[in-house]
Amino acid sequence: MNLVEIVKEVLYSAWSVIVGILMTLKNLLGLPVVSYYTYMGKEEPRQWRGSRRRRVTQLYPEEKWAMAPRFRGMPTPTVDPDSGQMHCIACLACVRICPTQIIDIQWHKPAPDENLLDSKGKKKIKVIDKFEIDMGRCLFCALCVEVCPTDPKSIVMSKEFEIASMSRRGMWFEDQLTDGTNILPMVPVRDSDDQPATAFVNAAPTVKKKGESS
Amino acid sequence: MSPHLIDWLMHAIGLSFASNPDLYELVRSTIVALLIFAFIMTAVLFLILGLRKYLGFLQSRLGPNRLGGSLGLLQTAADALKLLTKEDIVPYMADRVIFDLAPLMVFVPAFLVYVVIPWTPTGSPADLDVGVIYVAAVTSIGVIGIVMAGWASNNKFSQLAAFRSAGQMISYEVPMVLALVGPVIAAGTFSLQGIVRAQAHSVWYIFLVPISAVVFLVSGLAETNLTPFDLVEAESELVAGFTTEYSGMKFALFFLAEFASNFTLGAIATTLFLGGWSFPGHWLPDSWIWFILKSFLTVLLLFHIRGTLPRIRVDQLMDVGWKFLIPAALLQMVIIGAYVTLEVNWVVIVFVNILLVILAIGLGKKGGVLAGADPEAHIREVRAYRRERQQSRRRALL
Repeated sequence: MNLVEIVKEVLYSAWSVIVGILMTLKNLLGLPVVSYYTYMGKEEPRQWRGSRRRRVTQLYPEEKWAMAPRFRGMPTPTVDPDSGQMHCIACLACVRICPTQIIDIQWHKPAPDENLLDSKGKKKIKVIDKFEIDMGRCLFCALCVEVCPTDPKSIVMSKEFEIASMSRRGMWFEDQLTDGTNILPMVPVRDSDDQPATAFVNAAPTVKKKGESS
Repeated sequence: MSPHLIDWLMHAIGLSFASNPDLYELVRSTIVALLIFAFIMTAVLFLILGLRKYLGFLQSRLGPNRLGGSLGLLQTAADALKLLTKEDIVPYMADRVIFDLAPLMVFVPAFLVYVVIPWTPTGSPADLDVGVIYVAAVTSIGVIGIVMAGWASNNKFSQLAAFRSAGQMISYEVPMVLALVGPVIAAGTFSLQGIVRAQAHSVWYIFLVPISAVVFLVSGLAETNLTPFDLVEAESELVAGFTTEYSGMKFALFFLAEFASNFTLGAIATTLFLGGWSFPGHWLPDSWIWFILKSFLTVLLLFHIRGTLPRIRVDQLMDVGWKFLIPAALLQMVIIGAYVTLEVNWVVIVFVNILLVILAIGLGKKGGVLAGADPEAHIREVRAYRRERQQSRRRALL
């Protein structure tokens, strides 16, 4: 390597360092930057948006991603928001198909003179006493949803994923609050809603954990 | 840091030393030392937070944003508290005495430089006649601490980091000292206060000896172990480098010393190249405010470089140190020496330097005269050589 080439390389390197510093400075100030993504045509060049810098950080507990359409969260019974009745008819198909047997539905036959109506306004054949899911053993296989015979589905895979707890008992979800369990979140689904007959819904229920105010 | 303030403080405490000037000097220097130490420690706390926030903004992140409002103002304090309460672990078979001494050997020299830093126009804590040599000597003591830490930790990562640090030192220390010589020749004195005064009378030395400034910046980055020269604590290669086995307060000492030396680098650069306490053109009165402002801006530049450039290899550091920095610093020495001998007016020198920089930018930038420069030519050469060697080995095997 002769002297001229060395000087050339030094100047070239120095210039590339300066270009790099200017590039990061542009990104800092929010000016449009030709990044890898813009170069590959995957992204529009970043533009100055008011005084807001581009930020990719998501402040998790306050901000949450919208879950994917086919995201399998916690299996959740649906409820008719008008009558407040669960759509479930207590056929126990989900209880039987569940590989880990985590669904527990207790029911009784109403007395003949009782005239209880279900969510569709028909006479109830079975009355549900308890609907319980032990999320500690759930596989998120969605078999319970596939097997559910009602329309709309009485159990769906919701978008709920914050199920973690400090104890196994804390993973039990029940439709009524008993000692050591959490209230089972219900997805409100109207009969008239055009719900696709799939395992997935878009509405995210709110989980109320034990200890929080109702 | 003004002497009036210190005299007022001593008066407020109720001390009178009219009869005993020695005691007066003792108390006075103690107060100065404590003030400077307190200032540096406070500055370091804000520098750590500033680095994290600045790198965050640089990378489209947020940085600390929970503790102490959305700016994360209390994050550093919380981290320090956590480090204070952590268990002090000494690894099995570690050399206990050296292991305990190493953090101090890094921490104390980081503050020794401030003895000669001219904070104000009226004076520095001690205006040594050999200030520049003192700076060069004191800033390299920290490496001994790193080598001690690596040796005493009984850990392969720490030891590798220590070896790297020693190797790094011999490649950057020489160009660093040579870069310090540039301003010394221009000012005609080794005293830092004298150099700043000379700059106040003429022009900032970054315009007079620009190559020295660049060499000083690069070798300073290497000295403070900042990216692109953070070979000593390369997270992706050496876990945490020489601090791998350190926890609690000892680790905190290393950490504080690192940021203190960042600020030291900014302070020295300000003193030698950016005119110290003088305001450009004397439009505003000279003050320590300008000194601290310039120092922080220099540190900001360091952080920006840290957020921009990737880490280089050990052999590349040697390349930069021996093949580029030393010849460049020597060249600058010759040039400024010739100017001083011929007694050229500084206006002419600055004019020539600006012309040269414009020429260099024109040569270096893409599409310029050097558009045909091929920085990867030597990589191809090396690859061709390796291929050739491999083939000759295969032939020998056959």
